[in-house]
Amino acid sequence: MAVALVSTPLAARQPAPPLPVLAGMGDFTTYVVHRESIARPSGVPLELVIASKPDGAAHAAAVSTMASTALAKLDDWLGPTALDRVVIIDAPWRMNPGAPLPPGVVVVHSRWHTLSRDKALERAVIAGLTRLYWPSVGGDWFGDSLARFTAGRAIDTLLEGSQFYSDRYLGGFVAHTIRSVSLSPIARDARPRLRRYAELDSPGVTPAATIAQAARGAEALTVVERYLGWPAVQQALRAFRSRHPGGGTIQDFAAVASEQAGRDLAWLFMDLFNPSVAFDYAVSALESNASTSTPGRYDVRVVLGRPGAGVFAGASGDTQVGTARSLEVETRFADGTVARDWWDGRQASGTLEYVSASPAVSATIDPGLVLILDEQRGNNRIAVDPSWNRLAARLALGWAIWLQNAMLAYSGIV
Amino acid sequence: MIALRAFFEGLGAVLRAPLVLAAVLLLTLLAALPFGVVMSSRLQAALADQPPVTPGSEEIDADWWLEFRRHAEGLEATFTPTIIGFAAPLDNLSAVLDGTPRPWALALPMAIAIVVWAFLWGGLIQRFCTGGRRGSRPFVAEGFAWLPSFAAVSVAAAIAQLVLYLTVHALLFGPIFSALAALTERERDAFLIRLALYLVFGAGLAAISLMADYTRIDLATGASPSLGRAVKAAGAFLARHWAAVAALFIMTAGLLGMLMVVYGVGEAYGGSRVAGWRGIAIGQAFIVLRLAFRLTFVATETRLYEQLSPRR
Repeated sequence: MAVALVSTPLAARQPAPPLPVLAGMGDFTTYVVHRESIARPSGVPLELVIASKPDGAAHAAAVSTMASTALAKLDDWLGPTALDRVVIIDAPWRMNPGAPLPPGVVVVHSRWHTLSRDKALERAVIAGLTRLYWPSVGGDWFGDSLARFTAGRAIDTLLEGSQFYSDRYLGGFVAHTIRSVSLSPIARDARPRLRRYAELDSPGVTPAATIAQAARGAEALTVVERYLGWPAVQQALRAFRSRHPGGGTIQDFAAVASEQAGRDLAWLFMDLFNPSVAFDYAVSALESNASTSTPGRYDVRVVLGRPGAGVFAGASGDTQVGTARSLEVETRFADGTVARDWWDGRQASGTLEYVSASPAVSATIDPGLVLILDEQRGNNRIAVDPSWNRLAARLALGWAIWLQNAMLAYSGIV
Repeated sequence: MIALRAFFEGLGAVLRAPLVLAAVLLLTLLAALPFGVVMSSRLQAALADQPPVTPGSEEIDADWWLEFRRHAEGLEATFTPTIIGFAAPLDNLSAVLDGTPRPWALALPMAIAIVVWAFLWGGLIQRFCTGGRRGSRPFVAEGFAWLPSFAAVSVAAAIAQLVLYLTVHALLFGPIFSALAALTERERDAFLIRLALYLVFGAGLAAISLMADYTRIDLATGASPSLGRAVKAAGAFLARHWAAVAALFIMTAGLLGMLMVVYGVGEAYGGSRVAGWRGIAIGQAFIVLRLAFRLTFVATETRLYEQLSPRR
């Protein structure tokens, strides 16, 4: 059920609470403080404090709008936050926290030059607020994974269709947005969202190894979402947060997810979350020969393999090998028919055989890109006679224009 | 006034030589074509492996780019969204000013570009100097005749620019910029500081480039019998007439800057209407204009040298 939060500005006469002191960031005595009271269904209001730079009124408005919307969505997905006060500080561009932030504090950086289609500030607000729902005990990579995954999903949901690829030039001061490259496709686009937003990195001091594991964990959760579906994952997230408000382990989450799904999902939380395990499934061969047993038809053979060490089991250990529905295999034939089968990912190799009216033109394992952690997608498909892709030619032309620009630039200074 | 006169004479010479521009464009395309073919075959394979593009979409989505870049090596690593539209020249300008390292795979295309322009300089100087011969044969003959010398000039200039990046650039945009930017909390002020440092560094870049240009002009116009003397003569010319040289450079560079601003603003307001094949056409048209400005540099510098050089 969608939750709507109502925000009202607090009277200016009410004394403003002091802003937190953040290591390495100086003080905020010159900042303009805007306060709102957000009414929640639980009856306990949330105070939203936004501290913005003296000339940052426009950014403060954007932060306020995004924060209210994000809090409503996150409360809807995960249940209400236990905090009764959230402070968002729009810090100077060069200043970053030298230590983990205190509870309830979010730091964002609005930039001097920004474009309306560049939603970096909004992403930072969403990512920062999401972290408040997932308290991370020092070194807890799984808590960070949950925060990254949930924040990425919230960004795609709240900014759907409104954010585009942006980059910064001339020392990072000048922004340029590429209108034709969308960051958040429409919801009905079934392709996976990789959500590799820079704003998802946690602020403060965090070991590099933990960051890498947390990033892997977030991508693994995306695989879980593509396998189980978002409604199931969202229910599991909400239940997990309710049962483990101080933070829990991946085993705790696996138990909650299994209970919610009514089946053992422990296999889904093993290799996927191990950054040292590489996944790679492949279509090794595709053969079509005139059938010797049925004249006028073709014997089609699809050979599958698992070059990677990672196992996407599709079922718990006590299920007979060869029976699990782990990964889909799609085989297309010259007459337009399509065969869809499932393959047990625990097998190191396997073969699918068909007798068809026409030869096969392509075979693809995991055509729906459930297993986004597959390291080598180039071997996931074999096409007998791949058609010429006009888009590839146009993109190559575009790249050639960039190359001509580079050639002119560098040859012009010598 | 002399610089203004040289500017208009040179610009007029370029406008009266559309076939020269066409020939230069053709050479530029031929230099980039082999690499484009390689990239095209790689993209054909990558798009065949990736999920199908949303029907009706003008471009592919950011996730596809990110996934491609994750596995890209060599030349493929330069295939990023910044190749699209105005981002391409902006990216290259930013890379030159910021000294952004490029993949080693770009060394070959850049080397080819330098050789091509070393060839073109010979033909262009001959074509744009007063009383210069017209026709493809003199152009090609002069181009090949001066190719070794001009290539040597380019190599020397490249080494000088590299030293400039490793010393002056590292100093300006390292400790100096950090110290100056720390004096202000406002990002806008920090950008203005950086702009000023760009001008300082840009003056050094331009000085080396102009030294190379006038060395070539001195050689090709027969003013000096050897490369060494041409370098000395060019240095003396720049020292004696630095104001006129700078004025001419600023005029021509200013026009190029205005062109970039028009391109950037046009794309910002054009939005998705300038994407797809239309974007390709606009991008290539920008290259044509950029080549025209490059020819204008050659022609105006040649005319200025003719007017001010004491040996003429």
